[in-house]
Amino acid sequence: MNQAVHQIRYCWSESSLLGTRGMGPVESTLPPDLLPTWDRYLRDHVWAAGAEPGFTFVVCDGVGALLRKVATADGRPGSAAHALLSPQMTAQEALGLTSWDGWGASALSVLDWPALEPAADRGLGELRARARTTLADRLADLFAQLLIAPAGGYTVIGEPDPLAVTCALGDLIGETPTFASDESADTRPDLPTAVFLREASFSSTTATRRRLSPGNALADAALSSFAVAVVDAYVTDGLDGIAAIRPDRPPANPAEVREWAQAAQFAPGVIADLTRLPKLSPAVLGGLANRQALERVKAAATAAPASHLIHALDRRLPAEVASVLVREAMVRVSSAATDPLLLDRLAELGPLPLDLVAGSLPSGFDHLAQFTQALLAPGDRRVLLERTAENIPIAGLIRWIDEHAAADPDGALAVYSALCRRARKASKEDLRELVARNALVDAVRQMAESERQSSVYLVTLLRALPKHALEPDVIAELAGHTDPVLLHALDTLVTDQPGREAIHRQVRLAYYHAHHLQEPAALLPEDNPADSKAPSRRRVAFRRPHSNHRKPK
Amino acid sequence: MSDVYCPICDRRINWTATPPYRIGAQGQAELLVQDSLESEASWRDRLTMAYRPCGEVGQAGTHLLPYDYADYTPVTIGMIGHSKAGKTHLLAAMISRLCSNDPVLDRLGLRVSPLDLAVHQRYVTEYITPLILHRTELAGTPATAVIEFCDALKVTNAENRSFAVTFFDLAGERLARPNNEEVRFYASAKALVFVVDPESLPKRADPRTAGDASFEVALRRLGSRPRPSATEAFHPVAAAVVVAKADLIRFEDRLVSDWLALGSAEEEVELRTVERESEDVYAYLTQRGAAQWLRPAQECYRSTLHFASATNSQAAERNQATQRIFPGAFRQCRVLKPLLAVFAMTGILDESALLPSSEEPR
Repeated sequence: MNQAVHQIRYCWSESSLLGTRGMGPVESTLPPDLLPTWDRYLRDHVWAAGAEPGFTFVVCDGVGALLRKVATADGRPGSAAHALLSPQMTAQEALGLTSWDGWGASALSVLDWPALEPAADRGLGELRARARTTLADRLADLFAQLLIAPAGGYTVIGEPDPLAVTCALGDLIGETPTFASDESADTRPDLPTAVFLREASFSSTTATRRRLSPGNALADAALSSFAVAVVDAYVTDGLDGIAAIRPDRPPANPAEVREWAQAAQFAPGVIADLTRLPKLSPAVLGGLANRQALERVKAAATAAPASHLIHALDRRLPAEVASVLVREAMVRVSSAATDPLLLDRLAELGPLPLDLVAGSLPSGFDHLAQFTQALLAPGDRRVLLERTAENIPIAGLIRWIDEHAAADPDGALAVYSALCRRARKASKEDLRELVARNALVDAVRQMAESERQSSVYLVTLLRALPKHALEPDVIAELAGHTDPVLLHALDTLVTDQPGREAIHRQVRLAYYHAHHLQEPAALLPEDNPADSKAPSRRRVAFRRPHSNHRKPK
Repeated sequence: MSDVYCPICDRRINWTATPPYRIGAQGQAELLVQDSLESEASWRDRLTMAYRPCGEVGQAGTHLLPYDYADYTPVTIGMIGHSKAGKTHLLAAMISRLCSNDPVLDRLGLRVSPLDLAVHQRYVTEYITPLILHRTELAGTPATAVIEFCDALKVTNAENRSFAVTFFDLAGERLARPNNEEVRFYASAKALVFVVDPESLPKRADPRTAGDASFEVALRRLGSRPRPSATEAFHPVAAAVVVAKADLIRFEDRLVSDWLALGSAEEEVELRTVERESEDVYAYLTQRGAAQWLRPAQECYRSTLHFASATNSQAAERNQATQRIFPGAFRQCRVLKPLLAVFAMTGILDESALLPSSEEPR
C-alpha cells in the first residue's frame, strides 16, 4: 500500500462484494484478493452504536484502519461504515482524520496519503484545542485511573467527547491508543485499547475491561496528585506544558508509572518543569518547602537552559524556591558570557539581597559594576563596589572612574569614595594618572549634583593625597586646565603663595576668556621690564580655557 | 443435582461451590457476602437478584447466570436465519405474547415469569415495548452484539415443573459465518427456531438455490452432537421452521391467507392444528422450490412448520423521532404457536398436545 490509502464502504445488502447477505463490503478500492482478509479484520468494527458517527481505529498487519460508522434509517435501522486503510496512518493521525471532509463521498477512489496529512494535522489540532478547553474537570480522574495499568485496554462510560479524551489521554501518556469512540458493549475480545460506551448497560457477560469514570476517586493519593499536575499543565499549555516531563516511551506497568511520577515531579503535585512554577498556586508551591524538593529544583535549575530560568524567575515563587533559582541565575550572569536576557530578568526581580549577590560575583570590575547596577539597591551596591574597589590598584580606580562616570555616576561615586579613602597611599605613577585625567574633574562633575558639590568632591580627593603631592608643577599642570571647579578646589587647598598666584592667574584668565576680554598686557613679565628680573615669579604657561567646563545638561 | 452447563458458552459449572455475585454500577461482578447480622430472609431476598458465574470472574468470556438457574430444567432456544429474515421481530412478538398473561395460556397450564429480571426488563425495554407498544421497527441486530441470551424466563407447566428458558437472537451475519467459535448454543440448545424469510425464497423451483447460509451452519454444527441410537438419523433437537413475514405472501398463496386468518388467541394455544399447519407449510415451501429451507424439518428429530407474522405489515410511516413505524394493520399473527410447539417438543408442554384430534380435518 505504501502511500496509497484504500477505502471500503460497508452497508446492508442482499449480496455484498463477497456474496454474503447482510452487513458487508459493497464498495472497495482494494484489490479483490485482499478484500476477504480485510473484511475479516473489519467486519466486527463496522456496526454503529448510535445516531452520531462513531469512529474506530485499529491496526491490522501493520496497516492502520480508520472506520466511520453511522446508524442508517433509510430502511430498517442499521449501520453504514466507511473505512480508510493506510500503513502510514497512526492512531494520532486517525484522530485528526475523524474530521476529514471526505467521509461519505459518493464514489470511492484510491487516495494519496500526503494529500490526507494536512487534514489529519488540522483535525488533530482542533481536537487538542477542544480537549484542553472542555475536559479540564474530568481528564485528571481519567488519567489517574489510566495510570494504574497504563498498557491495558480500558473503557470509558458516558463520555460526551470521546475523541477529545482519546487525544488527551494519548498526549498525556505519550502514545495515542487505538480507539473505538462509540460502542454498544465492551466484552468482545478484539476491541481497540480505548473504548467508549454511552452507558454501562446490563449484560450477562462479565465486564473484564477496566472502566474509567470521572468522579471515581483513586486510593493512591500520590498518583492522583501527579495526574492532576500533569493534566493541569496540559490543559494550560497543551503539549508544551508537558514537554519537559514526557517520557521517551509510555510507561508499560505500574512500576514504570511510579518511576515516571518520581522523576517528573519536584514534589507531589508539582511537575518538574521550572517554567511552570510561576503558574502554580501558592498552595501547590507549598509542596516545595522541603529540602528534598528544593534539591530537585536546584538540580533542574543547574541543567536548565537560560530561557527556562528566565521563565521560572518570578516574584510569586516562595522565597526558598526563588532563592534557589536566583542563585543559579546569578552564577550564570556572573560568568564571562552573561546572558543579557537573564540579567534583565534578574534585574526585574531586583533589588536582590546583598548577601545573595555577593555569593556570585563576577571577576571583572566592569562586569561587577554592570551586574550590581542591575541587581542591587543603590546603597548595597555602593557598599559592594567600595568593598571590591579596595583590592584594585589606585591607578586602575582612577581610570575606571574617569571612563565610567558618565554612564554609571553612582558606581563611579562609590569607587571615588574608595579612591578617596586610599588616596593617601597614591604613588607617583598614581598621581601622574590623576593629573593626566585632570584630577577627575570631568568625572566628578558627572557624579555631583552641582558645581559646588563637584568642588567639594575634588577637595576631598586632593586633600587625601599624600603630603607634597600638590607640588607647584602639579598645581600648575592642574590649574592650567582653567576648569572653574578644579580651580576652586585648588584654591581651597593650596596655601603657598606661588601656587595660589598661579591659580588666581588662571582664574583671571578664565574670567577674561569667559567674557571675551583680552588679558591685560602688563600682566605678562615680558611686557613689563620692571618685573622681568623678579626672582620669585614663576612663569606659568597661558592656556586657553577648555571650550566648556559645564556639566552637560 | 445433575451437571449444570452455561447456556451461553456450554462450560460445566460446579454450581453448588460457586458463590453468588451481584452486578455493580459499572457492570462488573462483585462478590455477594452475607452480613453476619443479616437476617436469613434478607439474604434470600438478595439472592433473588444474585448470579453465579460460569467461570472465573474477571476473566473474559465468563457469564453470569441467575442464582436459581439450576433449580429448573434448562431449555435453550436459538433463533436461526439470515440477516433481516425477521428473527428479532418474531422473537419479540413471541415473548410479548407469552408474557402477556393472556387467560388463554391457562388452558395450557403455563405460568411464565422472568428468570433473570434484569435481562427480561432490558428485553422488554429494548424490544417488546418499542415494537408492540410503539409499533416501531426494530434495528437490525449487530453482529458485534454480545453473545448471550437476550431473555430468560421461568416457565412452569401444569405439572408444576419449572424450566429455565433462555432465548438467543444473534445477527444473521454472525450465524452465517461457518467458523464462528463464539456461538456456542448449538451444543446445548433444546430447540432452534428456523426463520424463513419469504422474500428470499426462490420465485420458482430452482435446484441451484443455495438456501439460507445460517440454516446450513446450524445443521452442520448440530451434526457434532451425540445422537441417541433410536433417532440416529436425526439431529437431537426440536426445530420449528417458521415462515415469518407471512403477511407479505398472504395474497400469493391461499394457504397462507387461510392460516393467517386463523389468528385468534384461542386458536394459537390450540396445538392440535400444528401438524396440519406443518403439512401446509411444507407443501408451500416445496411448491416454492425452497427445499433447502426444509432441511431443518427433515433433519431434526422433532420439527414443526408454521406461518407467522410479527407485524402483519411493513413499516412505512415515520414517527417524530424519524423511526419507521408500522401502520394501522399492525398486529401479531400466529407468533405464539411456534413457541408453544417448541415447548411441546422440549417437554415443557406435554408432547401429546401436538397430536391432531380426531375431529381435526386432514
